[in-house]
Amino acid sequence: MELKAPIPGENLLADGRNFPWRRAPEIVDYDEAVESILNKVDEDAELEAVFAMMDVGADMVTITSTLLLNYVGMGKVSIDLALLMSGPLSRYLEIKAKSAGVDFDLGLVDENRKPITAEDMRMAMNIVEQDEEAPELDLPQEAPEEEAPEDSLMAQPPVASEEEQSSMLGMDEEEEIANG
Amino acid sequence: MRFDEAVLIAMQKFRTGDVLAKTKELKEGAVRYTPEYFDELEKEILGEDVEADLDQEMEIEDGT
Repeated sequence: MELKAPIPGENLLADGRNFPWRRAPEIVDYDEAVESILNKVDEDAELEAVFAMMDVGADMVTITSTLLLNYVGMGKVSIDLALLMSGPLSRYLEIKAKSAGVDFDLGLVDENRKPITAEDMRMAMNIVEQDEEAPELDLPQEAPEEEAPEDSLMAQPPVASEEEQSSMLGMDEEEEIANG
Repeated sequence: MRFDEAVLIAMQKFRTGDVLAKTKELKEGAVRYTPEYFDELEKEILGEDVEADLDQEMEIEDGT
């Protein structure tokens, strides 16, 4: 099987400066951009493609984002403006679909939706849960830790006194130097 | 956040009219493509169908 994936680092060799989305966008005004994309969507071929996508079950979010990404890719608008255009575009497509009698799914998230829980599933399947206590398992108990003898390698080393610690840190030498 | 997730949020906000205030800040003068514009357009294109649908919805809510 032949894999047609890009070679790692291939993007570093491509000259991407002349791609449309690399240049400044053609349209920066909100109304102008919305009007432009609505005119484009009104073309027969575009509208037929949109209705075909709706027929195969694509929701409005998918269709809108596809059209907008295509527009951004053509260098017409920036990605920020494309997001602002998503509301008007989806609304327009909705009106067009209604007028043509095409069924569509908005794909919006219902905030009032109640999440399906295991309890709901049990209720739906008529499974009555009996209160059974879980049997206690006979697990092995951990043995208490024994302290290692003082002369052992594992024994905790004795803590040095403050004088020893300061001498180890070189504090005495500094004091001597400071005192002359 | 992926682009389609941002589109979903933007669509929901447009329907509630939240984004429009920020859009107005970007643009000098009046914004043409507002949610109200599309409501009017829907009535204009679909005509009586929308009003009939609204009446039916109200009847269902009233339980009549």
